[in-house]
Amino acid sequence: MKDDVMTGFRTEVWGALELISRWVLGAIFLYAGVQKIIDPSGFAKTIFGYGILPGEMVNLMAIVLPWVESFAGGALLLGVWPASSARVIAGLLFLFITALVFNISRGYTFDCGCYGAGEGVTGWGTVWRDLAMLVPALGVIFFKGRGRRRFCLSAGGE
Amino acid sequence: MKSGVRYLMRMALLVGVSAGVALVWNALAPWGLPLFGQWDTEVGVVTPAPEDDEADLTVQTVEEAQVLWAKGAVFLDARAAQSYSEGHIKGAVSFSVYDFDALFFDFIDAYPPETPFVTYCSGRFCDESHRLAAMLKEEGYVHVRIFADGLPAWMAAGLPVDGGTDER
Repeated sequence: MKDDVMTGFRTEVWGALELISRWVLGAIFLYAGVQKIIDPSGFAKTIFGYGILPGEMVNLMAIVLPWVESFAGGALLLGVWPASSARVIAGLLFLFITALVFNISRGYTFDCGCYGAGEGVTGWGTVWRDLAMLVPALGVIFFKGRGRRRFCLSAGGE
Repeated sequence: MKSGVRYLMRMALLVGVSAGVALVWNALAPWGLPLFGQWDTEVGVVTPAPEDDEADLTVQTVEEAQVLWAKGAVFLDARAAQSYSEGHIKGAVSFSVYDFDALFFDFIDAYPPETPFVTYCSGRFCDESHRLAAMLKEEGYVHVRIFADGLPAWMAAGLPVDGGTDER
């Protein structure tokens, strides 16, 4: 009896944490994406400033990446394929962290552009922030079996 | 294993749909970008939205800029007014792209459409010079060129500059 209560309690906590993770992460990515969608020129210059992609790829990345962020973030908010969306977001975070660390290691400082152009200069703080965001992303991914995802339009197949 | 494949397919679908919407949106939005920008500093100032004749418009060398300057082309400092007042090419006129709309009425009175202009900012990594040139062309000015290397190269070559004293 007591065990049942504890198990039920734990399930509730996990469920609440999953929901908070999903909504916070979704809101952050949706916001970050929209900021870039309204200023693609600024974002293109930021990508160029990273000095990683060849010139031919810069505009394409500036056009497509913000929409991937927005769709993945929006899907998390609405609870559409949450585990798959969180995997996309984790993948994006991994890319961002790689790009940041690569540039920090070769001594570049530049406009981060994380939430639109001119937002701040990159540094280890930016890397830590991205690493911190991986935690809720992984939480959402590996939630399966620990409870029921709440407020989901389409969590059925994860 | 099977669910792994399903995740991958959903991720691919999510990214694919996003990319599709992105390209359609970009084609329809007035501020959309061309698919390829001009990010080669050898060609000129870097810009996500180059003009078709960007390469022809660009003044590649300080020497070429100096010739135009000596011939009396009007040099336009496209940077913010603050930067202009801190130092600019001698005789250049301040025309900040950031205040284009406010400044343009006086500008159009002062300069007929055939006036030869050279825009500049602080080198190939800034695009104010490009943006000002594009805006002026749109307003009907026909002889606008872009001095790609801008003020730093001009100063490095020891050519005449004004600083702070010659605000219009």
